[in-house]
This record gives sequence, structure tokens and C-alpha cells, in this order.
Amino acid sequence: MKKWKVTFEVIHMATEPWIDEATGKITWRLPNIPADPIEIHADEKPTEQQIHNFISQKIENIQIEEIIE
Amino acid sequence: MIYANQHRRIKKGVLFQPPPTSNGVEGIQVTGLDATWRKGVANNFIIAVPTGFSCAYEIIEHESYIQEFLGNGSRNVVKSGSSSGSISHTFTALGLYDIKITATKGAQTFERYLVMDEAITCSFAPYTSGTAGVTTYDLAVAGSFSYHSFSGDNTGKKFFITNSGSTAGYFGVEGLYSTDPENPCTFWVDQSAGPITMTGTVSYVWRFNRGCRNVWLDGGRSTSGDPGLNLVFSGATNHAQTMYVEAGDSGTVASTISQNLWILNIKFVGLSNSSVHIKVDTPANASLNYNTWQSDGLGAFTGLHIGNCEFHNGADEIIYVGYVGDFAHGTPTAYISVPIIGARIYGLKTFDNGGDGLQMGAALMNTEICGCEVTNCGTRNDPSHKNQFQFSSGDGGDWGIFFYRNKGISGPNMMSGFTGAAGRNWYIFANELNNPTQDSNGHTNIFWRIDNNTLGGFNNLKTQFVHNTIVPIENKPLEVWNAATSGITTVIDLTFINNAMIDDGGTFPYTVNSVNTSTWTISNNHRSTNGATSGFKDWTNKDYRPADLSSALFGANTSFTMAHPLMGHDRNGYKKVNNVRGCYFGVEEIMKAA
Repeated sequence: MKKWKVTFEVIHMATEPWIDEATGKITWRLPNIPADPIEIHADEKPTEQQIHNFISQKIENIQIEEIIE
Repeated sequence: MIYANQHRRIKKGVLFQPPPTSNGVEGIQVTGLDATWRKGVANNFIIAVPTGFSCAYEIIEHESYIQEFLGNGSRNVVKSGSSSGSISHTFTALGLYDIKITATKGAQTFERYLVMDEAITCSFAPYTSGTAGVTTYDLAVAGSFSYHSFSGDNTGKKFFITNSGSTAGYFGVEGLYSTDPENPCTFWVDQSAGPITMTGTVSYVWRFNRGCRNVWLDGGRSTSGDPGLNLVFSGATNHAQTMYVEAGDSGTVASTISQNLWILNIKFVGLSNSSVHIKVDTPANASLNYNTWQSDGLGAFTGLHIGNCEFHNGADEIIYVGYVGDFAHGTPTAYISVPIIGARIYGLKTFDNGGDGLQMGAALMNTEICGCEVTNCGTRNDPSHKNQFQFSSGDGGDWGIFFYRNKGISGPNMMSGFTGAAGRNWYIFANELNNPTQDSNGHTNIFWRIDNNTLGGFNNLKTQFVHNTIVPIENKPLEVWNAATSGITTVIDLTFINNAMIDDGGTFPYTVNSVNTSTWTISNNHRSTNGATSGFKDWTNKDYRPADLSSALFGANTSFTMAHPLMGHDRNGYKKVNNVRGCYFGVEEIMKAA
């Protein structure tokens, strides 16, 4: 079974609207939070969709690399 | 064709006797049945069986049928008889009623058991404005379409909603309770001039806040069959939920949790910027949460009923029943909500929503979800919220969560589930699950993630898929992933038997992160990449009943322990006669040959 390293960022939503200082716009979205990489053991390279299914939080910027030992 | 006895009669010079003329009925048919009946008001339906069959029927109070199965009493048969044709009855008590019909020919007896949306909800008797004791909310009058707080015992209180209206607020109900389930607080709408439409332009359209007990909201049905109450969002403002049931608020007093709430016959219409159509939350705070409920048994929301409603559009889920915090799955850092116990969710028809279809949120226990259909969910194409059906951590409970006779019509992902937080006892049977959506994302069709249970110490979780018809157009029909590559001690006791699957023929089941499969039973499933040769009645038009008695769907079955009294019935309510795979048992064909 192959090993895969998956990195991603968690989308971070505010509970109250806030002003984005860079744009001056009111927004609900805060900067993404980089998550600790996870390791997955699977025969096939996971697809981004499978990672979305696996992580219940909203995430983006997914990177998947095979771990060569 | 001339039969032998007819030959003999011809030889003796007796008049030729043709065989009995068929009445054209296939199987056991019920017509003219209203889904909602009225307490104290006579109504009727019609039973028909094929020529040559005798017939008997029972009308059974649903909860008594369940309790009998669980060994807690006997079923309450409110009417029985041994005839077909028109059956009339007048109910004297509110609730859900099933219809059991048997058709007998010689030594062969066939059974059809109708339940939930296919059977009868007995709601309260209608009333009009101006009747003594009725409070009327005329939505054309300022102040009616607003928040209403109640105090004290309001047993038997009646409310009547007339005229459509619009508000930048919402219709709120808080603290309304009856102490008598047979004499509840009721909301009825004017049926005289078509549906009443309640339009919200900002946050919500309707809220049930804490402390609503023995309360019924019933929109009724027009003569054309449409719901009599529309809850609609309009305007450009970002909206919250169309209906929010905040069963416990942020409060900490167990006795204020809502109980026995019925939501019937409503059409929900959202916009692209509206949230979930029905959200049901229970408390998840330091004083009231799953742990406190486990230790003292207080604060659960019992008796939630959502039945026979339609849902159109909206940016998020259709229903989201049970609170799920950001970290509810796996290792929660927040509290798990007080459970919702004994919910009945049935007859929901959903169309074109942005997120998941039906989300069975955290800690939804001893619950039945039956007769629901999801069409075109996940239109927002958010990669993580586009399941037709979604089960969250904590679902199940001691008896279980029973998902049966439902139909997934379309949506990017078919179904997903998460363990953790003491979730266990999932029973998924007699469902038709389609997924015609196809794109380059490689959608998973049934996806289960195994987290360690953090509450309750349940480490072998029953997860059963029995007698479903599963038609994913692409990719893997079932994936099971451990939540991590090591340290997962929880095992799902997967039973996957007697299903019919038309899929891409890839690895099944596909497991990731060294899932422990030692307790799994996967057997006697019909599996093919070609639905056209699988013996369906009409593959092209998705009629997945066996075409005839030579259908490839007839084949050996794996026996199982019934966790629910209807696990041995098919999606149309027929009790199994012969071994067959999938959610339709071909009983009509067997009856033809009887």
C-alpha cells in the first residue's frame, strides 16, 4: 500500500462580519489556517474530491505527494 | 387457450366457460389515499387486488408497531377487515398510522405494509377564523407576522393564519406548550383561497424557539395536492434558515427543551443566498450536552416529526437535524449536542439545493427516515457539502437510525457517514440510490469515515446496507477510510448484503488507512457494470423492479437479524417472498404466477 502526504488549508469563517483591511470590504471570511499535513495509506493516489470527503471541515489548496521511503 | 375442464364441458355439450376476466390489477394496490387525515373526520381509501385473491387489512398505530417489535407491548390495530374496495375510518387519536394488507390465493399469502408518507398521518381537525378559542394571525395586519412569546399552559390553543404576508423579521414561536399530546397547540392556515405564502426578506421565515411542546404546524393540502403553506425567502440580503428549530436555545435548563413537534405539509422555497431550509439544534454547552444527558438522561429532544413537505432551491442543505460543531467528528474539542431521540422524518421531496440534501446531524437517535427523495442537490458544487444523504457523528443510539424506502435521484455524492461521538447502529435498507452526476472530480458514491468513538466506549459499530439498489454512474460504490493511518481502534461491523449494484466495476469496497475488515459480511450482492442485462423491468427509465421471474436479480440471499420490523419488506412495502437482490422484491410478478 502506498503512502501519501496531504497538505491543505482550512477555510476560516468569522462568526461576525469584519473589515478586510486590505480591501476595506466587509467580509465573513478570515485568512486560511494551514493545517498539519496528514498521511494517507492507499493503493491509489487520492483525488482532491476524496480528501474533501475525508476532511469534514471546509478546506482548499490541497497538495498530494507520494511518500517515497 | 382452452383448458382441460373446458374441453370436457365442450365434449358434453355444455356452454363454453371462459376463464375469469382479469381486473387488470397488479400486486396489491391502494388508491385514493390522502397522506394527512383529520382527527374525528371520516376519510377513506381503496384497496384492489388481482382477480382470484382474497384480501385482509389492518390499520395500525405506527409507534405501537415499533414498540411491539422491541418487545414493549402489542400493536394497536385501530381498524381491520377482510375486504377490498373502499375502506373508511374515523381516527380518534393523533399520530402516524400504517396500513397492512394481505392478499391470499390458495396457500399463498402476500403482504404489503405501507408506512409514513405512503400511509396516514392523523393531524388535528381543521377550524376557521372566528371560532371560539381561535387566535387569528392575519398576515396583512401589522404585527401578526412577528415574534410571539407565550407563557403558561396553553393546552389546546388554536392559531389560524390567513392572508399572505412579508416581513423583514420572522414568525417566531417561543414557550408555547400543551400538557396533553392529544390536545396540542395547533397552527392551521386558511385553505379558502389557495396556499398562504409567508415571505421573509432577511433572517428567517419561521422560528420555533425553546419550550415548544406538543405543538403542530400543518399547512394542509389544496385540492390539487399542493401544500397549503409556502415559506419563502426573497430579497438580496443573506438569509439564515427558512425554519429554525432552536429546541433548547443556549439555555441550560433541561425542562425547556422542545418536545413532540410536528411540521407537516409545507412548501419551502429558498434563494441562492439562503441557508438551510430546516435546521434543528439542541443545546451543546457546559450544562447541557451529550455527556450530561448520558449521566442524567435529561434534556433530549423527543418526538420531532417532519413530514410530507417540499423543498425548492436554497444555497445550503435541505434539512440539518442535529447540531454539528466544527470539531464534532473525531476528537471533539467542543461539546456534543444533547441528542434528538425518536424523530420521524418522512415524505420530504427536495429539488435543486446548493449543499447536502438531507443531513442527519449529530446525535440523531432511534430515528426513522423514510420515503424521502432528493433531486439535484449540491448545485453550489462546494467540494465537501454535496451529498444526497449525510450522516454525522453520534447518530444511532441504542436502537439505531433507520434509513429506508428513500430515493436519491441526483447529486454529486450519494451518501457519506462519520462515526465518532458514540455513533452506531446504522441500518440502511430498501432504498433506491442513484447518482447520474458525472464529471472529472471522481465523485465518491458512498463514503464512510471511521473515527474513534470519544463518548460511550462503543467500538464495534453496526453499519448495515441490506436490500438496496445502488446505481452510481462512476467511481467507487463504497469507500471506507480510517480517520488516521494508526491509532483507530473503532471497527465498523459492516454488513453489505442482498443489494443490487450497477457501477464501474472497480475495487469494492475500497478501503484506505488499513481499515479492519475482520468483522465484515459482504455477500450475495448483484453487481454488474451493465444495467441493461441485469433483469430490471426498465433500465432506461429507472424502473428497477425485477422484469419477470427469470430476472438476474433473483438469487441467493444472506440472512440477517431484523433490527427494524420492516427490514424484510421492499421499497414499495412488499414483504419478501423469494430470494432477490435489490430494493424491489418482484412480488407483483410472483403474484401473477400464483
